[in-house]
Amino acid sequence: MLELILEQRYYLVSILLFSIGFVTLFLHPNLIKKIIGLNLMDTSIFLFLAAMGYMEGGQAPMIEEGSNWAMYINPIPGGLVLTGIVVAVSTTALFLSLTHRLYRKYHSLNLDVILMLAKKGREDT
Amino acid sequence: MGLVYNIPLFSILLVVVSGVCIPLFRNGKHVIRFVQIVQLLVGAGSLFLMVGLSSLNESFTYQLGHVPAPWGNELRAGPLEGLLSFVFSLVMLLAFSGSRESLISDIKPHRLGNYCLLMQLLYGTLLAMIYTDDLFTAYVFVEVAAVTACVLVSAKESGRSIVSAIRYLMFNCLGSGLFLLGIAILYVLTGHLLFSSLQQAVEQYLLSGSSKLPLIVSALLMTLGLSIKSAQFPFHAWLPDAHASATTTSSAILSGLLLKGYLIILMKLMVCIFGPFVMVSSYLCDLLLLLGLAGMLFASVAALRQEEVKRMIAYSSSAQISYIFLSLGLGSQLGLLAACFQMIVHALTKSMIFLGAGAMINGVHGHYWGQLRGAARKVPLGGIAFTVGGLSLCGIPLLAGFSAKYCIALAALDADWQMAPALFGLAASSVLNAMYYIPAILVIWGRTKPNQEEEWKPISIGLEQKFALSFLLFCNLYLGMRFGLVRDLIEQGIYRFGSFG
Amino acid sequence: MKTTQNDNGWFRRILQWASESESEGADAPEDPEKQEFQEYLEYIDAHDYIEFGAYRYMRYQQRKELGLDEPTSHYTAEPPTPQKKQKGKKSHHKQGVLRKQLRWYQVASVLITCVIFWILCLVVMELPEFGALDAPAWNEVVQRYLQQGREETGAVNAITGMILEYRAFDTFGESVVLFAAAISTILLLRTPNQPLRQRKAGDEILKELSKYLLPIILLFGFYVILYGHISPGGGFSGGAILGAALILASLILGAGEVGRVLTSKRVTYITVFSLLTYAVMKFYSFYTGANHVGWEIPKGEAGHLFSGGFLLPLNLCVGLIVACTMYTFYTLFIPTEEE
Repeated sequence: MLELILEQRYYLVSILLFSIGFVTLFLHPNLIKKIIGLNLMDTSIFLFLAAMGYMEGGQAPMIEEGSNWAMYINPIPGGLVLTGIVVAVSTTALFLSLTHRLYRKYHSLNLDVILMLAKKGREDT
Repeated sequence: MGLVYNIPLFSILLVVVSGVCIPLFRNGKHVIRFVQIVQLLVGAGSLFLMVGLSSLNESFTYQLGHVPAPWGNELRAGPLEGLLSFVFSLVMLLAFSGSRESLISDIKPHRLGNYCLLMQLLYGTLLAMIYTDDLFTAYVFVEVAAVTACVLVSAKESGRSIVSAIRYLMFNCLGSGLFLLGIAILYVLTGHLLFSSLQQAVEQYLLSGSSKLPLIVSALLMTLGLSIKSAQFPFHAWLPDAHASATTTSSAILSGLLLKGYLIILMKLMVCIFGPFVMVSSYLCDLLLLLGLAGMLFASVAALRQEEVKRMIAYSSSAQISYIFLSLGLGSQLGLLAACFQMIVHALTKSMIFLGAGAMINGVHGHYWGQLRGAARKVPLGGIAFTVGGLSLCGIPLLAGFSAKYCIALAALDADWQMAPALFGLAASSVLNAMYYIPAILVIWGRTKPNQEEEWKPISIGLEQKFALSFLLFCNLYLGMRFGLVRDLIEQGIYRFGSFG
Repeated sequence: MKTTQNDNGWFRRILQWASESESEGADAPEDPEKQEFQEYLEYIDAHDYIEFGAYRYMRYQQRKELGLDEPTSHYTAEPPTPQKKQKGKKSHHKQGVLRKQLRWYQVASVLITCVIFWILCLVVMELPEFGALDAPAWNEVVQRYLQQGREETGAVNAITGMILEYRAFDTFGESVVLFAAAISTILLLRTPNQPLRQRKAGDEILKELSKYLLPIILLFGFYVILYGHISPGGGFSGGAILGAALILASLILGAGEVGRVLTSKRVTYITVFSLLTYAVMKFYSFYTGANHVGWEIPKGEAGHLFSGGFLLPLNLCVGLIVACTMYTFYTLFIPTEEE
């Protein structure tokens, strides 16, 4: 059992990070911390993918002429992680810009306070 | 290959490229025309594709690039995909023309171009979601939809709309995190991302009986992620706020189309990857059924307590989405058919209700029930659209909602133990729908005090808006009275789509 | 709907409210708010620092205890909200209320996370072992990428070959995400005709140093992009380096200085044209590939700069999109004149 845990340590750590991100997202009313939680969640999945792409003794997939294909690592997770990172960057930027707008309006980063203020000052335009 | 087979790629690229070109325009009003022309073109193309494929009775895969499918990307199209993309283009076009005035008045002129750009990207994304045949492509486009839709919610730029946008984005990111984790686990297990290869790999796992837990968990994570995104009942918190504060076009498209895009992917997961066996043996079907039932009842009850017209319609959307979950949860071919039919009916009906409500809101400048009293007399066509849409969702015969409910009921009658709860849910939610739509209809047609009669003279609405509303009315009546044609088309499409149950 | 009863008084109030709100407008300057902010500044001078939102909330509570009405006239014309709402069940979407009243919200979320963690741990234990050579992911798809990728795409870097040739449609979607995010941020944060803040140019030493440093960073960025198909790197990483160089330049030389060369309009145009070029090139290869027309782009000899067909221009397009998007994000987030 312990051996298996050690063997799967990358996956386990990524799951742990995922859970930390998840709980941060739920517990902290501060928007910036929520964003950090989301990023942590995304990053942990990238770790998971990057770890699964590794093959025992593999090299980075820069293919040399006439080499054996089994000596490289799996290139697909690399591509997937690249896509994932771009997506995470985009959503984070969007999240931050929304936060920025809210801060300009309500002078607070606390989602509870913002929700309260927004409800109190129902603008109906 | 004939030209017909290129239509899926052409339509996706045309829409996205036309969206990307928009910053080159100077005048916002020209942009709306341009966008509408593209939508018309794509709609016509999809109609052509649908008719062609249904007469040939075939579906095809379209290889993107020089390398065939398990290595490269591919698109897949059949009669069902053609029908869905036709309906989506139609709703998109009608939503744009039907709320043109509120679009111009709600959004600041210098932002109109960018708004249309994002709308167009969202439209291209929806098309890609319909045609995709690859799990990771689906993920990428789901994310495009999340980013674009979030801005559409906040486009009105009031504090409240930004608060709802941030909550929407938060739920969305949570959903996509879960979805991505599900994809990652599935990829580790099978090493494939293409639907057909995934299905084979999953089948092998089932035969050997190993790694059942990871399979189920990944299915569960993906279902959960997609149901968070499609505002299914326990996760619907963001939806009403997002609608109430968005402009009419956004509301119509968000509720009419976007939520369906995620459901189409969910449907593809169920049919093309996991197949009936995993769905039933892992109780996922039961979970969907339960979610659907709970959503139908709770969202309707919540809708009873709303004082704003758009919030009420938003809750009603959540309830209608639950119908789709319910019919997917029946786990049969008939259930799938009912789900597709409900998707189409709801896309057309809900956009009609939103456009009607939007016209009335524009007419009386207020969106609380108290302010809307007698609004239908001021904007008769909007009132008629709202009334017909509301009655249709209550399940009055001869309207589209009735035929959707009829299909779901037929599917439910065919199921085993699910029959009683499904039929009960259907009946109860119809009654609940009537409980909030009928008072609403009475309010908008209600008479105001006699001395204020002059103030409520009908105001004229634009020709385009009139056309859009009448066309949607016609579609609703047509689907209510002669739904056989559409139903046959869906049946043919589902048969081509993959067998289920 | 509750208006079906006593609509008499309501109706007039609504009309009154509607006429009032029209004259105010949404984004009209709000003086009471400014005044409150002044008070807040005085308060944090006198006491410890607290967040403005928290301060407002405190004031709100105090006023409520004293039984005073809201001092701000802005909000008093609130539309009719029936009292029933408070009595009803707590609905799910009121997170604030939920969290204040129910401690167990936090306990429940921790519990849910623990359950998810436990289930995922069980799942992970059943997955194929880390680095195993017989993992299911090590299948014919990977084999073809690694074995024939060099001939089929002309790229030494298998990842570049994969994302720009085999799975190019995904990458197109990815660029669209970036573009959409850039446009969304512009939509949310940019106010029209607002000049960039003329930051004071940085330190003299930094300025001198940047003269030597910036060209090297830019060169390196272009190198990573252009050699993306024959060495580690590619459009995304190279674009990030270029973007970082632009951000560094506007930090050191002042945003106005860089902004004069790279106006927001030009940045958008560059992004749009890169995306369009990308779409046209990929459309060509999708179309010819799917219809078996032939007309393939000559792949050249793998390992040379001008090889791999469209890979080099595609990488350049992706790199420009990424660099421009990063720079756009930066320019939108730097504080503007009014703040």
